[in-house]
Amino acid sequence: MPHEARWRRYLRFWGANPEADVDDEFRFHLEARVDELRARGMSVGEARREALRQFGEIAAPRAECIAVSRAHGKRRSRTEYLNGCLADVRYAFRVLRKARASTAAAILILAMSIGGTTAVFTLLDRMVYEPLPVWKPSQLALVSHWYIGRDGKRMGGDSFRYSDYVHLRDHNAVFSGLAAEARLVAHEMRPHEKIAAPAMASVVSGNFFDVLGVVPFAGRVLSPADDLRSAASHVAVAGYRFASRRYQFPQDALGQTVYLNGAPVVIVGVLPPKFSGLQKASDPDLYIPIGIVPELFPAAQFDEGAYILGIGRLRPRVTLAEAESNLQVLYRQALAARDNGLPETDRVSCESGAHGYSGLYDDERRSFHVLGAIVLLLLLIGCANVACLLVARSASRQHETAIRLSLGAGRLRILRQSFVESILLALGGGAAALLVAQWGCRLLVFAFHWHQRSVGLAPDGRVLAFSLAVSLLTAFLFGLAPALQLLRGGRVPLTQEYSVAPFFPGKVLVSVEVALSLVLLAGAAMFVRSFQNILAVPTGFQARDVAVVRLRPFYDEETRPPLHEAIVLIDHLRASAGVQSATAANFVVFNDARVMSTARAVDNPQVKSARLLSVAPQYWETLRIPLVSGRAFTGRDDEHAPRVAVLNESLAAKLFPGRNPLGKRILTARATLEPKPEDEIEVVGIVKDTKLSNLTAPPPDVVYQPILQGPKFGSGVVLEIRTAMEPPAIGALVGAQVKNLHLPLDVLPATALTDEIGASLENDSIRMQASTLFAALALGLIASGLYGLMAYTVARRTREIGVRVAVGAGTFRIMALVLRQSLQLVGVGIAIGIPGAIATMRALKGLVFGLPPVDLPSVAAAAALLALAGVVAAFLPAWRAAHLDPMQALRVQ
Amino acid sequence: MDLDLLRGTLDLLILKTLSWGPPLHGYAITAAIRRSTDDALLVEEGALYPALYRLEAKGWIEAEWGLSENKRRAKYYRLTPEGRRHFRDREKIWNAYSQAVAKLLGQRAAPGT
Repeated sequence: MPHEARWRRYLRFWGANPEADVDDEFRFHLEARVDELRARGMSVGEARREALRQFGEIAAPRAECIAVSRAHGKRRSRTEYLNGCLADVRYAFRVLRKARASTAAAILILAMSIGGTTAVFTLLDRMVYEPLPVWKPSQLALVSHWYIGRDGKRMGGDSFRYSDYVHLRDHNAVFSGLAAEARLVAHEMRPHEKIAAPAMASVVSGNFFDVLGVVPFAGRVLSPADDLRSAASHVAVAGYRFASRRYQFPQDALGQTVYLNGAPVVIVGVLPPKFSGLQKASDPDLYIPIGIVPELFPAAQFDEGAYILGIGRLRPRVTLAEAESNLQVLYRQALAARDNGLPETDRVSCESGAHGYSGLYDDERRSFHVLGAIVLLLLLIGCANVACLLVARSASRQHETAIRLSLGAGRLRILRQSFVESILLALGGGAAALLVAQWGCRLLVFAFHWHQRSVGLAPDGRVLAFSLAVSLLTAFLFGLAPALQLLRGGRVPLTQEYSVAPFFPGKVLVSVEVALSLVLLAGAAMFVRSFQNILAVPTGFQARDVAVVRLRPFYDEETRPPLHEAIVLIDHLRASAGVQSATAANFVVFNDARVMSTARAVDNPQVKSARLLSVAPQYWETLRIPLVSGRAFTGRDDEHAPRVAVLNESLAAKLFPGRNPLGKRILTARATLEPKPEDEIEVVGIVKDTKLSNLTAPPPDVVYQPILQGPKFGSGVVLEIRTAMEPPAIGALVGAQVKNLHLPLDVLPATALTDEIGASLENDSIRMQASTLFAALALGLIASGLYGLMAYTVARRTREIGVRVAVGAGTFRIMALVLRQSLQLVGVGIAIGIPGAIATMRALKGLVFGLPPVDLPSVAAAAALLALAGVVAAFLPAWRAAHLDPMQALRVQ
Repeated sequence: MDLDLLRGTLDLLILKTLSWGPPLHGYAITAAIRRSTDDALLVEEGALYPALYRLEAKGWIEAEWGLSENKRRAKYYRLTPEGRRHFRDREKIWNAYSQAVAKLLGQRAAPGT
């Protein structure tokens, strides 16, 4: 038995063994008792029996002791572990504080890269991913319809007529409720009154808030009864932010009257603060029921247009696909009942409505994805850079690590210590990143022109969780290299100089960084070249020296454009000094000439799509668009004269192939379907094609009409003036003329036509600027990383370089030695990065204009920039190496 | 004897025994308790050990392996400073309590009659 006990003692050396301990203890107790009893004269057998009797039960106390001991042991080891972690944190703080410069650099880099990622995520989350703040958003479905266009492509985003919506609402079997939002906006206006910050009202069905499950903050929400056209439908529900902006307290809004499109409505309820509309960040001021629409809008605007977007709450266990097929059948019925010959290709679509809808254009969405990719790349580069910094630092601590390892510190413990340091750094960087993200968000909102949309930018739980997750991920990414380095460093014998490191991940890291930067730089170069290509596209007109002045009727209730006033004004402007020519139109090129219409020749039923634009005399002269044949419009082409039109060349060729279009008659818009003699228009001129709204698309087909013969809706007129004057000066001139002539016009600030065109390139410009900015940042990171690495290498090789100098190596040769090493690293990185850059370029197809799928000049430019960075970064260390004092260098340990 | 009462009493006895000074092994603690209570409280010696382990887990006593008088390996228990504080508190409460109980049980008749 004693043998067993001794053996167990050795076992205990590796850790507690509760069973053995308890057994040993009990055994000692019994043996001691037996000894005592025998000393009193008992026989061995008797003594044993008596001892066991006195001890009583053995099994139960033994089990209890083992259980207590085991639980206690676990708790104790946990406490020890936590204490160890705390010690690690304290130690890490000390280390980070000691190396202040590199800590600050690392935190700065991390703050920028995590902050950029967080900023893009914040906006994406607010605009796309965040669920609606309503009851069970996952049950919601957005209902819209789409069709196959003439070119075979899917045309999306179209919505229902009101009557079709009612049919779907009343007959479907899949929704517990189907609500609607009309794409109409009513504006606050009142006769003879100027309202500061007028409200905008969104039109919704009466059951809208019931379906969404929004409970009012005060008063009531709309009810299905409000959908009926009656006096009772003159009600509105106010958004919380509007109510608190307009009135002292939000609940004061109840019972107040607001004039929308001139008609009074009474506010009956205020919505809760968290609700900001079905469309992300739209936050309408007021919601009005559909019943009121006929009194606020011209009849044609609602009955004919497809304006309704449906949102339904799915019944339990109904899938989106089932809902879609049910609605599809109903929609077919509705179309058949109407029998208007709509194509067979109409389809209903049901998408998840949990997130509302973003209202982002495809182009904006793509820009966002590009931005996301860029910030992720930058994040990786930043990680590599910080890893480099830490590696250089941990290299100088190899000696210390070797000592710790030889004193018996576990490798796991060393690893943990290293990661604790990384996590602390990442958390510091992440905290600073929240500030950077705020700033970045504001920049993005500014770049995308979203000031009007109420995008909440304050970081919420989701954003905080995201940035925390990114921080920890980066901590792991950049912590890996120094941790490995530490472990490898431990293998170096204590006596050896630590300058002979067998493994240095710094070079690997810098090469990876160069590879990632190559991808980023090549992408940026592509966007820059694409933007240049777009700017170089001939527009067909001369935008330089043309000022744009928008005019509006002075009184808000006036709904017809002030055409005659504009004609009078341009006649006077032409006579002014400094004005070469002046004209008016109902649109500005590249800004709002997007509405499609149709046209056909009278003698040919084939309808072509075309834009219908209204222009005043001197339009082509002002924009320098050449007249090919026929005549331009004159002052005599007014509403009393016979209707005339000017076509652009490509439309003329399509409508009258092989014939002279002059003197021929055409029909436009609705008249193409139900021709009447008075709708016929005579073609009097042909002009050259011009780009209208998109530089990268072919010029659209256009029918120009005299402005006095054109449509009378819309409330504004645009003056276009060719002059050498600056826009503010011409704006002042127009304002003075309006005052002199006593015209009831509002003059909006003048702009340059070139700026209007520039505004249409917003997304291309954002992509170019963002990628260039981030590429510059990446280049800076690369340069600093290379500088650090080369400085470190030179310091490590001081003695060797000293020997070289001593035996007569010239300045040039020493510098070349260092520069060559730096360029080698860059070269390796470029070689690794080229496949990635090529893959990225292929992925960018469709976002760039006028470039081949693989644009070699972009790659070459990126590589050249990186090589330059390699030389610049290594120059100072090289210079220092070449000017070492050999005597001092040789004395360095 | 009621188990809870026994357990509380046993804890107090162990602490009291250890409070006299030198570290003791389980057998010595048993012997001391038996001596000072005339075998009244500790009927089965095995019941001592779970109590010892629980006191150790609470941090009131600490244990160390050592060699006994006759050169056997034994586990020695000792009061920690915290255990000593706890013992003093419990001793006071116990004294007050046992006096109260003794007074109550010592009365011939119910009070007020």
